[in-house]
Amino acid sequence: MGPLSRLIVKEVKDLLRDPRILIGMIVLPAAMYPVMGLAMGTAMSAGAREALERPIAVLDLDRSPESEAFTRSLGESANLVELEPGVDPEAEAAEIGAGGLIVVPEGFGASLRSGSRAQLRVACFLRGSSISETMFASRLEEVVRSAAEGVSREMISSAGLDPDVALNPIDPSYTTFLKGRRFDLSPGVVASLLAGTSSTLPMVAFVVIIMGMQLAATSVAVEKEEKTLETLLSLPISRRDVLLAKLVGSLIVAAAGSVGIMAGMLYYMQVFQALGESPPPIEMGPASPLSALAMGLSLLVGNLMVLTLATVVAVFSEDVRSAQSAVGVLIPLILIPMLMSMFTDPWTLPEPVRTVILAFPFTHIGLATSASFWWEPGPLALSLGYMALWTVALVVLAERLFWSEKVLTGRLPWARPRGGGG
Amino acid sequence: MLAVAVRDLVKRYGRVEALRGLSFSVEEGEVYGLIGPNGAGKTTTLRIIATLLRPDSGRVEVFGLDALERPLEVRRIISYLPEEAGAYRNLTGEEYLRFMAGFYAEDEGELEEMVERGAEISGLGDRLRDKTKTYSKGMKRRLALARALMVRPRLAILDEPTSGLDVVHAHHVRRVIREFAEEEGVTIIVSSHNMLEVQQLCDRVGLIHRGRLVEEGAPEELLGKYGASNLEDVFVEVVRVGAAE
Repeated sequence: MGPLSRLIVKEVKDLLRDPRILIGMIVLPAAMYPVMGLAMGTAMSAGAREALERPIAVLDLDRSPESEAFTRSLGESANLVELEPGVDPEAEAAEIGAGGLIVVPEGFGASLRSGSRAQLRVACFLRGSSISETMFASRLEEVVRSAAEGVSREMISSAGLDPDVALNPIDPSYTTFLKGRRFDLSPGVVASLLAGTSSTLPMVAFVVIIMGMQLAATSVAVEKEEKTLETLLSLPISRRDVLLAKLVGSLIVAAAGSVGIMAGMLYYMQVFQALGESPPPIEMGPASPLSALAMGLSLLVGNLMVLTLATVVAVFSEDVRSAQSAVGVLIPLILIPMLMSMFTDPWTLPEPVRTVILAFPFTHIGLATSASFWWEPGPLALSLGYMALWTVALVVLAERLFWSEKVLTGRLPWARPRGGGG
Repeated sequence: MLAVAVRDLVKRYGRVEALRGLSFSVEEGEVYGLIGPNGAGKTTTLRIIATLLRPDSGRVEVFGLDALERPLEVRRIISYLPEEAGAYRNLTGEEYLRFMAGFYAEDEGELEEMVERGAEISGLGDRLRDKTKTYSKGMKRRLALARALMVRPRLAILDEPTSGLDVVHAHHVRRVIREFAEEEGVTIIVSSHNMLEVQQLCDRVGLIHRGRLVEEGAPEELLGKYGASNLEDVFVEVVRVGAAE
């Protein structure tokens, strides 16, 4: 085994065996989403069941064929309790624990027969702001809307028309073109899928990058904290190997941790899909295998860039805590351009703003990932090239720091002064 | 042959002048002690010889190799034990020794030989199978010393090897250094502010005060020259005379 591989194996082993990293940065974040999904899923299932079973009180003061048809229609989709006229409906509804009260006033049928809209009084009794209450509130409105549609259908049928045609007379066939790709879907569906994709991609990149930065900074700072750095630097090995081992080791552990987090997130999303949200009608994946490869390359180059930056910062840190707080300062600098690339296309911004944003290297992590996804070779090459330039510059800087005394004597301005040796 | 030749070393940290023209030399096979109070410049000197720091001026040669021009070659023949050196918390003692030996051993056989020697020097027995985070300070120091010596360097640079250790661990460390020097013929530079310890360990000592070598010689020779009973008294006398002049 060569010196570099030996160093990488040590880095990975040491990082993965550190409980602060294994539990705090890999196990907990990976378990967080499934646990959250399970908790939310359980709460939502229970809420949905309660919303379904909760009675709705109805008082028919009209007693016309139309009002009876409406009440019948309500009963098809709700746990209905009919109240007798002459009682205080709100007090009675509260007495039986109803979540909603629907009062069909006198003249309901007459209005419909004369071609006017009929009046209806609906009261909702919410007990708080829990999931079951909000679900019941939506359900009450849905039950009323559905019963009203039932009345419409009966009126349309009695006029000798097909209710399906009368209510939905046009069947449009949509085709939406997006960046040269064709989707046989309505623009609304494509837009909602696009919103999901444009927020998911930078989010994935962000998770991987933040984790990698923390690991790279920790792996350098822990050498200082545990007083192993001096020994390491006095060994007959190139300092470039020491630096590369730190970057590659952090990248490997971050990738492993990210896979765990992504698996957790997928599980979390599946929980919600299983609760009734229909899955997207098509997979909106990368354009081709080449595009997927470019996405991987974009993430790799972006990661190397920020890991090297974290390493440079960690060189000036006294211990793990000061290294992590220094990395914490950098996170907004990476997050802000990433968020911008999520919500806006920097190329469409006015000239001065565009120049500033595009000059910022972290903007290109999101841009390169997105350009890979949509396979736009021009912007992709530009972003990748720009990130590669920054990465090389940072690696050269980091290597110089590793060759200089700064790696032993450098410290952040806010770090505690250290007692000198003899 | 000279193992180490240090000439006119000057080193500044900002406005603080840590070394002010320090010169001394160490013969091959010698145990040389650098003694002086905290802040005298001992650690800075050892770090420069170990190629970790660069002086502002002056020269250092290790077995004829220019330490400033050929640091990687120098690192192949030296072993440096920093003051308060730690070990990787999540590796076992044995894994740590194996990891370090891998950078020096030519083949698997030599690697095993080094690890075996390291285990013997450390005297940690079965505890070598435990992670180093469970070790006491003394055990960590024994492991670090074993790491430094197991590779049989031509020059071992040991910075305050017994600093902060209890009597038992300090005795073990001193015994190992002495035996290793005698049996293996390795040249050793050891720094300490414990002058009595250096008196027991070293063939020759150099007294450093405020970045300068103020006296040098065999312990007995210095005791005789200053009519003192120990090196501490010698140091006080040297500093007093220096201040008077």
